[in-house]
Amino acid sequence: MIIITNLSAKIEGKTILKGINLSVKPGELHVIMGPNGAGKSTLANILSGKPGYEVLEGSVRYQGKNLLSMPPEIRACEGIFMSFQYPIAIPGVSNIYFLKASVNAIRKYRGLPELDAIDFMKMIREKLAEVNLDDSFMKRPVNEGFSGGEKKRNEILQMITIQPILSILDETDSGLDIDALRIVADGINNFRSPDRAFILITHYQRMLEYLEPDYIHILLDGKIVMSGNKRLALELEARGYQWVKDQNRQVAEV
Amino acid sequence: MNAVQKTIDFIQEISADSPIMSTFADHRKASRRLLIRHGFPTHKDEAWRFTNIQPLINQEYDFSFGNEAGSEHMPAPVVLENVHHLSLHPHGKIDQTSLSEFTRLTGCFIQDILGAEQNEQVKTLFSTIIRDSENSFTALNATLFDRGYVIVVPDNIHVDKPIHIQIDHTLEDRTLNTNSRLLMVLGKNAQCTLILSSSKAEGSSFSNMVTEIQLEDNCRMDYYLLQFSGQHAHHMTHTGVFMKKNARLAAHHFSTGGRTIRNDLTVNLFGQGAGCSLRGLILGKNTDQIDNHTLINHLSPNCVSTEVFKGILADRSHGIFNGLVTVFPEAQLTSATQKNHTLLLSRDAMMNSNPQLQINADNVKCSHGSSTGELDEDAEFYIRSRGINEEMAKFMLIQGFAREITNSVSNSSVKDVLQSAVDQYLNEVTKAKG
Repeated sequence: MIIITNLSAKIEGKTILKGINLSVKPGELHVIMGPNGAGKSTLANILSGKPGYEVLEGSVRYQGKNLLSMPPEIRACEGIFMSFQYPIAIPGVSNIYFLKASVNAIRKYRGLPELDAIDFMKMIREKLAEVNLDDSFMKRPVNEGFSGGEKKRNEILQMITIQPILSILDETDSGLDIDALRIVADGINNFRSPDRAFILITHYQRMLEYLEPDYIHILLDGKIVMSGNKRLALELEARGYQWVKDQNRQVAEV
Repeated sequence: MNAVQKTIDFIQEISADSPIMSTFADHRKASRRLLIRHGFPTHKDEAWRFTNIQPLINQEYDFSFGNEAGSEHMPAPVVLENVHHLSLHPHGKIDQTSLSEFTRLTGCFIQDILGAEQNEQVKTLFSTIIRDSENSFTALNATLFDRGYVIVVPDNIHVDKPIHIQIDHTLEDRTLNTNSRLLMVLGKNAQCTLILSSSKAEGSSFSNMVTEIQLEDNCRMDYYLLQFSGQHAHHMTHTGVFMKKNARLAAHHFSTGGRTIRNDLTVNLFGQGAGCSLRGLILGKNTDQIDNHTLINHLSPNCVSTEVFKGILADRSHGIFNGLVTVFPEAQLTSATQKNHTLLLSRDAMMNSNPQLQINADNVKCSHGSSTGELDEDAEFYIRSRGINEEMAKFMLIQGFAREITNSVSNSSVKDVLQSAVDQYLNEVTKAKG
């Protein structure tokens, strides 16, 4: 589905990614872990098309197409979704207006008829129930005055409404209490299917208690230095990133 | 000859025994002297520091005063549904029958201001809320006003529908100076919505309006000033509100377009427990210059004022906000907030924002803030990451910015008019850029 090859990138003169290689197939859930400043969010931002980054080297093929040449809205229309670490407030724009505009822009791109207000509301009610939110939530301005949990649940609501093919979840677990964490994790689990894939970025393994990842990757200083299965996350939790650094140094020395 | 000289020549030449000059004669005489002595303000006057009135001065005007020409080819009025409609236009005679009909429908007293000099309310209030001598333009108005109304809402009357006064400033092929005047009184426990609107016209004009509003105990007023102006329009308004005990005012200033738009709004919270909310939105493009000067005087304890003025400026337009909130020593337990936020859509657009608080009481809650900037790039990316294209993302952000003001409009007909005005403005300025 997505093949990232030797991707290097910089922002404001500083090289953050130093040769990332990652391949994600349909149905898979990949987890990327790493300490602050390792380049996790940079990777997510580059995949979703945030302006300001300069790609130095490498390529990203998404469903056979050159992802990096697409503007962000086309990536979304092609099925890429990023759940933001810090969802942005948009004062004066209601959640329902925003999400309906999003759904219809994507439908239009795919040659589907746009949904009217009634059909949209019918559809959204089911989705709201899945993330334990009520109708009134849709009338509020996007992310304005939302609690941390509401913001993240809103991201998941957008995901299950827009129905992307590849979801990139950037620290979707941060700032959540246990109940909200479970709601968000359930949202992701229910949304998993053989034709959808996920890249989940996280600091901690606590979210992984609720999810079944296929691969864990450890990102350190702009490179994936270790990959494994769920056990790697547990090991990391027990031993810390220093252990990875030490291992990595030994490998380099050899 | 520029407008200042022409104005002074004109007022010097008017015969003192002209029928209009014989009304409010003392006011007119004193104001005329003042105007001849001082002329128009310059940017050296503090209150006119940022307001460039040169384009206004460089125009030559005819004066509507005492002119008998007919009034055809008016711009289409602002269409509002479900209102009591009145109009004020150059040379248009006020029709007595329509005023009687207005009284029958609304329960309000109404009179042509030129014939109302002996009215008790007029005797007491005229030129007390906005003094003739306030500045050159109020003096010009007091000298030459030739049309206007006195409206009194009696005690306990709730006027069922808004009173909408459409004000026209232009005549075909003529560049006119018009001076109109309103005096409005809301009695105790009365309720009324007043909407003043002016439509966009292509030609040049210079209108200069004074509105005095007296709000008695426990009354409630919603006030709207809706200005749709063409590129060559110069409009000045001076609005003063005097509020007694527990009176409520919700005021909205909306301006789109205009070469020189200057709105001065003064609110005096005189009675205990009075409260006002002022909202403003300006939409500028081309070489528009739109200026709001507001002054809120907290004169008594327990009064509340909230003020939010917003601006969107494209092209080479220029916005000005000068807001002063003064808390007098007696005004303990005052609550006052003042905000001014502006979005610049072009590097050539300019905003002068000057929010000020003067606090002379110790037990008060006051805050103010101001911001001027471009569209939030992170928000734009967030929207685009959901499949919405760049142009639409910008549109949504700007529209959302304006909504904070348009959503605070309680009258649905006014709200519709404003929201479509915002959308139309956005279509013009965002397409021009794309």
